[in-house]
Amino acid sequence: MSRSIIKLTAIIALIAGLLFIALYGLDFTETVRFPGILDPDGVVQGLDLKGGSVIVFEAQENNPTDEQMETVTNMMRTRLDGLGYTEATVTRQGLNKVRIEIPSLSDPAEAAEALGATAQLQFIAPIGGAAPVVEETAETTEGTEADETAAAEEAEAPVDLAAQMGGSVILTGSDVKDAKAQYGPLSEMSSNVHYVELSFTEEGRKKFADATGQVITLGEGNNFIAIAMDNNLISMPRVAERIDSDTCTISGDFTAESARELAAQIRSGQLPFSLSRIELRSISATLGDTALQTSLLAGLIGIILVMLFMIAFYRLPGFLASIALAAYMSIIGIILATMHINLTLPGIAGIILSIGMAVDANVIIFERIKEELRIGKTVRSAVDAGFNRALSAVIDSNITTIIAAVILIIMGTGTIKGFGTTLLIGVVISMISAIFVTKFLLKQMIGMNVKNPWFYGINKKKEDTANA
Amino acid sequence: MLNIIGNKKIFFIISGVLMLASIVSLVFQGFNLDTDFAGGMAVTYGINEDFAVTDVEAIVSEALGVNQKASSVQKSENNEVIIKFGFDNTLKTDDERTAFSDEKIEAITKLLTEKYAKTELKGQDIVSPSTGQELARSAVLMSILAALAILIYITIRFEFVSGVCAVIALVHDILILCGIYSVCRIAIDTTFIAAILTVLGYSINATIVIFDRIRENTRHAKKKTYGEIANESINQTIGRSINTTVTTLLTIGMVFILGVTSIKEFALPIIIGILIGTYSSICIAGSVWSTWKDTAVKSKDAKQKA
Repeated sequence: MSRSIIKLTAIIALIAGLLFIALYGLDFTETVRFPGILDPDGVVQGLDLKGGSVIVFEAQENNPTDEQMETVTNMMRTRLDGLGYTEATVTRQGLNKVRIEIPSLSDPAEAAEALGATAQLQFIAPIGGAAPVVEETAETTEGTEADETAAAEEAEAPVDLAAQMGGSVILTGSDVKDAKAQYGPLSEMSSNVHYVELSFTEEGRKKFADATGQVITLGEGNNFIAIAMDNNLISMPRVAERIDSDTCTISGDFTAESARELAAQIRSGQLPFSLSRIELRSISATLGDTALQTSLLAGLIGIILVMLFMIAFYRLPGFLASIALAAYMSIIGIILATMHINLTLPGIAGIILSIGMAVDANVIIFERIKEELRIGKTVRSAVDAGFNRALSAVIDSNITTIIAAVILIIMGTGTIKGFGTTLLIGVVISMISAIFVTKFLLKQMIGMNVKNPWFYGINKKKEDTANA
Repeated sequence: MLNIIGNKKIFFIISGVLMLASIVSLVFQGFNLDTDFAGGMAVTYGINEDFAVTDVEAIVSEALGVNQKASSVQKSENNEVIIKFGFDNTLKTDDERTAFSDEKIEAITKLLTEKYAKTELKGQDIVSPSTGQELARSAVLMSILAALAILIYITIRFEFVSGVCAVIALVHDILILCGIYSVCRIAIDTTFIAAILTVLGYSINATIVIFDRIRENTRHAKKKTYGEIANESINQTIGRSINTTVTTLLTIGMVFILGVTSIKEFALPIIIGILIGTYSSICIAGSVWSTWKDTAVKSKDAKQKA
């Protein structure tokens, strides 16, 4: 009996500890720490809770290649960084869409316009332009055709890079046929390096030959060609000689990744299709916060009601199930906080729903225990039989819910995926807590000689004597 | 002991009528599709002072112009208003629709701010119609895949007949849930898909608990008919069926009562679906199963006699 009391105290202390960790996290040192749900960096709130925008673009092309879509996502990434949205995420969705999520931006119309614009790839050489002074003078300089369209299309652009650099645009995206990341020797003598290979159209080849011919006459420090995407400088290779060839290489301190990135950026300047915005959603932080607060309140009241119901109906096992439920909630909290699961509004609903379903396993088991008690078994053997016989029902019924949740995670997008994730976590953890935690607690109760069937929900006098 | 199987004809008639009505409504008037599926705009403004819905309606129709009409202007808690309207049908490309939506929303914002100085744009959903079609396809695909996966699982763990009966109960639940939404013209959104999948999981869950008991009782009771076994099993598990429904409804019900508009719209189909699921697992799944099994035994006996 005393051993049971020690074990019981130990597990209740353990659950209390879990609850504490779930709320406040565990900080070993400044850097080695697990955040809790109350820590600001704990739970990753979805856009519908903390506010933000979702924009989906669709390629106006039914079957774009994977390479082209990769180019699109890279381009979006570059543009988002350029606009200052470094926390934004870009993911490919389906065959021909990209989904962009920007936290804390509640009026995304302008950003969406900038993101969806046709990419402006420019090669700028420090020739033919005015001195690097103010913008107005740069726009009045005579420029190429490409220069004019660029100026017209980007009238609102904050910076005109070509003007700022005091150069002019010598080539645009339409002059470039392809850009590839390569690995190999640049000349017969040199060792293998990563580089980017450009190939030009007929027109581009001529323009490039002319420009490089002029650039090499400039002195050290000015003999470069700048490559810019949407007025953001992406590379500035030095020109060593006049290049009159279908291809040219850009070499430098490239790694495999940076060479690939540059090639993708250049390619995005000549995508064979445009992008259309097909979805735009935004939510302000205040709206998201109201949603979060009310859902948490609903969850709290829901838990208390479920606990009261379980205690009223199943008495001692119901009370123990409530303790197990506290353990369940703590584990869910710890998983959410430490695994940085993106918590959305339907995700919270999924968790709250899973609380109601979490006690299902306990209900199945306790009903079975009651049955065993009614046919006259002792409390000890009724509890054993109840758990053993109920196990198959608990496992089979939960696996079918897991199947539904997994399908939501694999095939759903956005909020549906979030809901599927929390539902899956909820079902798995609830099964474990119901089977192991409750069983352990019940065993200790029996060890402490709490053997009156009344405590286990049996009322009739006749059944009382069965314990004797 | 409740005589469920003995009254199975009543349940078959009730369910049959409900399913038929659902099919008729779905075929003839379909769903009331909301922004996510039909495409269109749903814009939430915080007016931040007391206002009359009719005033906002007037502003919206002024902003939208003569040919367009808002599909709904709805006042919600905290002096917020949700305005929904569709795209101009003459627009052909997504780029034209983008320009249309941005222009209209800007116009509404401007007029609202003129009348109510503290107005703020709190949220917006702009969805192209093509997105909705894809969403609907993936929803149907997800449900079919889930049903198939469950059928396979039950066939492995139980038997094929149980699997088919569980899926029949499942189709019954989802069909009636969709029917209720179609008949009552409740607008459906993306979250409806998640709700359906949840109901699917829940309903199957309840049915499995009963089939698990049937599986166990079949081993011990050789002389009973399948109808008797099913009835006994249903009664042995009915406490669980009802109590789990109660605890689940307690939590999701609180979400429905306290939650914000979007989450209420999500909780409602789950609540309705759980109620239908509980009914079908108690009254339909076991009845169909025992009818199938007993008929199979009879025809086998008849063959042996002949």
